[in-house]
Amino acid sequence: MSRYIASRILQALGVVLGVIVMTFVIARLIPGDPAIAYAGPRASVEELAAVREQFGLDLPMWQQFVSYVTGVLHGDLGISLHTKQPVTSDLIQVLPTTLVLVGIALVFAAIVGIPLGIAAARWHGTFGDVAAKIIAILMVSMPVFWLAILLQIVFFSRLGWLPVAGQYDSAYDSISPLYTVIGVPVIDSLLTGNWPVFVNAAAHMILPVCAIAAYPIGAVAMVTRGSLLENLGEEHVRMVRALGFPERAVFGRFALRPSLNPIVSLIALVFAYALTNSFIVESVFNWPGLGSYAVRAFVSLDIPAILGITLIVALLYVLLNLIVDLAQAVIDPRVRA
Amino acid sequence: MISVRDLRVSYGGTVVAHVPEFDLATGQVLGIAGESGSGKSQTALALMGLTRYSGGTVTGSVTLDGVELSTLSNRQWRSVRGRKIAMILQSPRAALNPTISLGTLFARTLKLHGVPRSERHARMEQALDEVMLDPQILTRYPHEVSGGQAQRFAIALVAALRVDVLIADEPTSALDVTVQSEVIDVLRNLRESHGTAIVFISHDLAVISELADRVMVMRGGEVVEQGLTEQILHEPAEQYTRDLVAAVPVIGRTR
Repeated sequence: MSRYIASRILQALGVVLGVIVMTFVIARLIPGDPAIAYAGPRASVEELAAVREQFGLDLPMWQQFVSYVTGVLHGDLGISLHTKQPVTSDLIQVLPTTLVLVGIALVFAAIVGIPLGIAAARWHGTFGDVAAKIIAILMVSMPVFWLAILLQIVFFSRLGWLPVAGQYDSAYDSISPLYTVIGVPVIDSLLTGNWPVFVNAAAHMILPVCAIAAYPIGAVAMVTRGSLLENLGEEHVRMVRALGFPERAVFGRFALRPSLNPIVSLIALVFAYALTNSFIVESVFNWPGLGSYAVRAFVSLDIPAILGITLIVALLYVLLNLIVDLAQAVIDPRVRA
Repeated sequence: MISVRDLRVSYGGTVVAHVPEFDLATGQVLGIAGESGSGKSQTALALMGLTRYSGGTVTGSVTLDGVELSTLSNRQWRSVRGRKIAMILQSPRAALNPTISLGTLFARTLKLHGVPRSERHARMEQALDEVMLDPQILTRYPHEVSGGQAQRFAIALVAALRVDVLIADEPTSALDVTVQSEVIDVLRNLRESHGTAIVFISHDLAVISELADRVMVMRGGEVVEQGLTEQILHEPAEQYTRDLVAAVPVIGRTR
């Protein structure tokens, strides 16, 4: 097991190194002059030269690469061209919001999607199974921008049940001031025991979380159903039935566990998808997360910020895949071998 | 002890196995022979009440100690399967859950059938001893044991449950010849020490003849011939049985 863990961690480090190299190379291939982007289109030749010198853009490529890698390893991702702040501190500010949003959406998707898939497999071929399949297909096929707006129309405009945008109502600032811990109101209020704000912030989360979770729920439910049905046809299921185990145990204690690995892999896959979707959802619901930051970085050709975003997304993905590999080894002893 | 009358297994209106009758007493072994598709495995599933899980239906009567099994509900079957009747399968390793250690499966099964925690360990060790397996095997996972070990483990499970009837569906077909005879020995031992009645299903008459008192030959879902093992082997009445017998290798005989 420890050899398995060590090899996975080494592989993950290799991928991270590859990503660092790739981001650097891609950044140099992007057309456009970052010095102009920083100094503005009307900057003089002298000003541009000063900017180039300030950011080391006048140095030979290999020197730029070495200084980039050294910087990255020290947590220095350069200065953002559009916020004029260190990219690292920008990311620390925007990342928690997105991670909380995507994290809660994925947990929600697992909590809803896995039981939905189990139920569909349990009553395979019945009306309920068909209904679950249709729901899953709908959830997978709805484009996120459309779903986000639809949710706003239904739950805000028509029913008036839930807030339309933002993280919480600023009116609470005077009644029950919020102290910042990680910069995400729903978590900060929970950690500081600020219940009025927590309830309000949680209500603000429901629609964005649902918009992001829709695709993962559908995908998780369909994969759970398929994987479970496949395992139910296996000899080991016939064996435990023959040993007298009731159906509840056949599903819950025997068939489910060998079915989990594809589901765990899928959750890592949909993480990347959910992260990209969160960019759209953040702008529809006006959330100041990684998505809004990324959009501003892209339009202003803010290369340090773009590289920082790419790197952090890649890091998150590598980390998640590492967790998935380890989880799979825990679930299925054959993976460890 | 177990009596079958006019048992029919069908899928979507097609009868895939029909057994007019047989009776099996304590300590007896009935061999069911036939090629694949002859309905012998479907007969096994029907005896275990498992046909419904693959979408088929069973008519006719199966009684075990006077209790009619064919009309039992899923809940009622729970006090029969694993208590009075059990089954071992053709691919012994595939028949064990890949994510659960053998010891966990064993303990869960004993717990299910009401063996108190304090007795479980002794029961497991005794049963493993009967099939000549080291208790060390309980820490292993199915992919870490051989096919022969897995099959002997399955038999130990049955021995520990002290069932009256064991359905063995092609228990040796996936194993090497040397391992086959180990499994046969273990089954013979099970019958002798516990009086377990065994329904032994195989396509191989040679293997059946090592253990069975009586043989039933099936083909295309129907019983072709039934009788004492000696009689079937030496005076087969039907051509199909003669063909099966001819496939049995006998030392000193050239084909």
